[in-house]
Amino acid sequence: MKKVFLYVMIFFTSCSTPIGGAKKVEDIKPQEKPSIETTEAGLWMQMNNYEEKLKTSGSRLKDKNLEKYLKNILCNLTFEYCKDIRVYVQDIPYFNAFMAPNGMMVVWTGLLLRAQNEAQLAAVIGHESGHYIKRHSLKSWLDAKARTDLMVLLSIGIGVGGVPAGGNIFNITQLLQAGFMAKHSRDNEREADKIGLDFLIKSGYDPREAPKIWQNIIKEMELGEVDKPLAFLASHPAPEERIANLKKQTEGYENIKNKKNMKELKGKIQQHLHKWIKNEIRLNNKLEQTEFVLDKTFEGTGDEYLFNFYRGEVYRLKGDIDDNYEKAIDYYNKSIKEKNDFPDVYRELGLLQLKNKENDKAKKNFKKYLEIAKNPKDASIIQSYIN
Amino acid sequence: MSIIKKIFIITFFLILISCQQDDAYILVEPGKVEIKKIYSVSTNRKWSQFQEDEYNFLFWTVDGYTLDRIVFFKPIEDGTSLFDHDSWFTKENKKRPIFNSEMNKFEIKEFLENCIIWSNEFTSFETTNIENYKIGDVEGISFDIKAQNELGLNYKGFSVAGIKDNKLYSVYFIATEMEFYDRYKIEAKKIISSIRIL
Repeated sequence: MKKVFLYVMIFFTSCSTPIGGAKKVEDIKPQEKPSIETTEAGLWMQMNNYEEKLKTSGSRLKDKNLEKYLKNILCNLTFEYCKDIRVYVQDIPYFNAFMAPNGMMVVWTGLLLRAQNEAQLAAVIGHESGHYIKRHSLKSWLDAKARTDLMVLLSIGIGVGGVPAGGNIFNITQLLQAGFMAKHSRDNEREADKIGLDFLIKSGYDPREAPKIWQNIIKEMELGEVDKPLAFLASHPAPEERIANLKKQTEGYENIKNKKNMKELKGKIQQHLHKWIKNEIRLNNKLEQTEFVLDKTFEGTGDEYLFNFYRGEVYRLKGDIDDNYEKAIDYYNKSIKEKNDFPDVYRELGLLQLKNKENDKAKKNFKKYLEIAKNPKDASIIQSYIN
Repeated sequence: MSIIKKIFIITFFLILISCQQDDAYILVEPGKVEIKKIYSVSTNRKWSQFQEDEYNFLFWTVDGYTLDRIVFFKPIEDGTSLFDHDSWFTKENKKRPIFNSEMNKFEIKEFLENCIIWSNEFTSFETTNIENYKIGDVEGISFDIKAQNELGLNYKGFSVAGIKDNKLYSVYFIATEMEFYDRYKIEAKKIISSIRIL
């Protein structure tokens, strides 16, 4: 009986066609939708269900302006596919972006924090668009189907289709990655890189920014725990090879002064910066790794006082070991030198000085905090430390 | 053994299992209540109390955990975290926030906030309005909570915490912003303000 069932299943799966009978997977055309009887339509349906849940999910960043900004970048890169791809931001502090076969692109806040300018962000958006245009998810699916046995395939199908309504988004995203991202072949990645770079150049962005974002991520990974690569790298093979390829492709553009648009990107994420950095620090990664992320986040922004304040926060939160508190105090003082009316730094400095039994210095900084912050909600606590 | 006999035995066991009392939930009657010889509190209404020895906390609820609850944490010591049950954490377990009895009031709030975020229960969890607060004779803090879960449901609440004999005691109330927060906030405030550490 079981054998009969298996043969029936094999027969049905072998009968389904990827995109309506075509043997070769062609690029998806603008505004094209798969025919209902195809495997691709099934993938779309599952991703449409997921997208509906993502729209109201608590993990979706509720910032319409930011999503609109990302959408504009996409439309500048590829006007033809502008209507087909929807961009969402998920508030997850890791470097990642992924593209579902139905045109749902998801960018995580950890990536937005790490992108140093619009050109770098556009490189990733262009790359992900390349996956959509080349139908890489479908190709990966068919490839997996050809290589794995039926039961494994069925379990993948059930897994992707069975996204639970109240489930944990991290698991869902891992599932998506497992199903679509991790299976992209090196050829698919190269192809998406090439498309992304072509879009970048055509839209007037500096193409030399494309390899930079990957270089930074590799450096960050090396400073951290190399046995646990970042999500994006785990599913994208050979980053060194990618950088070499991208650099080679950009060689002819060395004398072109294309746009980077750093201010535009930084301006759009400004209101979230404090929260994202706090979440980055909460990851409790190695000191060097977190410092590198901060270094790259603030490079060229001119916000030295914030840079030093957050560096101080990183050391304070690591606790009283290896002179961490002394280093934190140094960074807080540097922050004050850069800008002397940022209230938070006086409070944190005072609290650490209190721990170091430097009561007079602490009181002075608490008073300064109360003076600058003007009736802060925590005034009663600070006042109790002064008294 | 005949089929009827088998059916009878299976049915008997099913009835036996269904009759078994669920020890995880007990009814809390109005009045003064002692919680695990850790806290004493007063309540004017009935609550369902959930307790499992493996968890570092127990909670009271009227309509269910996801709608409203008052969570009472067992005291934690230096070098430990708020949630010790490993299933709450992923492979990054070693990176969870660690309590230190030298923490100042701001760090206590920060620690509690980090622990809740670490538990992954909410997609966003923010604390505001930190103030001095006394739990009986123990110097501590109170602060407000705003949170959102994966389904996009908004929550509001408040918390109190304090350190006694180098151990952190903490309690929080949280409920859905829609409907349940307003329904129970006054009673929850009364309960939390009646807490004494035993």
